[in-house]
Amino acid sequence: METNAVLVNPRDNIAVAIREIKAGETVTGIGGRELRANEDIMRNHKVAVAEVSENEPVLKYGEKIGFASKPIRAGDWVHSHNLKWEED
Amino acid sequence: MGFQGYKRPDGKCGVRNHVMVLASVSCANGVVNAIGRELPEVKAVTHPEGCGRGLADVEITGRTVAGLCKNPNVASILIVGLGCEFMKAPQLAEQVQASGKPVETLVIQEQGGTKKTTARGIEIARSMLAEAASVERADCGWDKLVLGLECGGSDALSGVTANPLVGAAADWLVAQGGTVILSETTEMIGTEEVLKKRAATPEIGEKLYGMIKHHTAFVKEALGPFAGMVISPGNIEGGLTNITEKSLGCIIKGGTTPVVEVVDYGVEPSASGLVLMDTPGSDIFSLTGMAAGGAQILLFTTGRGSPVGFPIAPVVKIASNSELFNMMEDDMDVNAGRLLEGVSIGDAGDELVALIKRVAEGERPKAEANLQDCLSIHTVGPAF
Repeated sequence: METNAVLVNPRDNIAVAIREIKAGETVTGIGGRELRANEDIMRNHKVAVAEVSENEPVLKYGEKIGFASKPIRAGDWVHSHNLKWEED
Repeated sequence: MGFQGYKRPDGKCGVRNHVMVLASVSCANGVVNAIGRELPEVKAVTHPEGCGRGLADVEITGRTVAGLCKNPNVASILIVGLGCEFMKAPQLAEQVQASGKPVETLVIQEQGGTKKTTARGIEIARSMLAEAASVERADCGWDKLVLGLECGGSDALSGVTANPLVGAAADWLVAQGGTVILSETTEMIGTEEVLKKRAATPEIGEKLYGMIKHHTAFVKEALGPFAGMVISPGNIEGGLTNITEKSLGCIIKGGTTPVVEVVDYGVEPSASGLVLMDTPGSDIFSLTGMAAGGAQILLFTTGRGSPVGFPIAPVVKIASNSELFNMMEDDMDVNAGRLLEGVSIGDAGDELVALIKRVAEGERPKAEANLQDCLSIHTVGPAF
């Protein structure tokens, strides 16, 4: 299957879509995990590869890029609507 | 091993052999441009500074312009001033003379106006071109190379493909004894802890931590609740959510070696290795600061597509994705999008290093061939 995402660091809980991923489509390139997208993920945008509870850190490059502003399910699109820069 | 470059009287090595005609003040830009139209072989460099600023900006502009003159890619310099400005041409020339390079000045108010100054400037620049043409390339070590790193018009892939690729080249040059300048303090926000751990000494760690925190406070003051969005709307559409995400993807350009020095805008590093320079994230201000600090080649990654180059230092454009590389092929030199198509970072890194060597020895990257000569000097205060 064609690779459609990149997991930048093995510690990360998000991956970067390298082409548009449609809702229900399998996310590949994330270290063999079974995952389907819950919604359309635009190219270059982030998809959660694991569940992230509210106020838990979102990791990319193995480092914290912010916190979940609401619960995030594996397969969700992650961007400004559910990722906040600073902890409350 | 090294490259064939132009040895300068101060021991530095240029990758280009430019005759630069430079305005000391914006009021001299018209004459500088007139000389440049008559002699397209010279680098006619204009800017909006040189007068009507506070003391901090007088200092920044002075060292930046002097630094551009001292850049080893410049063989000789003609500085054109007006006469009544704050940053006077003869004073600038004095700062440059220690480099041993030919430097001459013309003052418009002393020469008797635009036409006379232009005519005399053309004569001087012609003779400088002839003299520069007699300098031949010779063996230079990689320890003489300073690479400046830049990312602009970033997308989510800049930090995934192009910036890690540049990081591989940065690690290579540091291993050869060369110097790499990582700039754009704005795009280090949120990474101060990560970088502090990489400092060669605790003092350097404190300095870089303070530099980033100071800049963060300044950004918060200037942008208030939008401080977390210190990225352009294009970045956000491109998939980056906030500055920390962009910053981590940005600092990856510097590779993995220790930070050996932290310098102010436009200041020449004294150490070899990975150096941080305090510059704005805005591309052209940052490129100008690094060139003033002595960078002979600038590596510039882009995801959305920036055509920007620099007058006196070749800029190598590295596209983060194949779509951009194909769409703006006239502006892009390297396609880091191939990292998503099965090419390893090791192979792509070797190719980038080979390209750096060819550029050091005269191959013109796209921005240079396109004469994308963009230059802006950073200022911190208002104009008066």
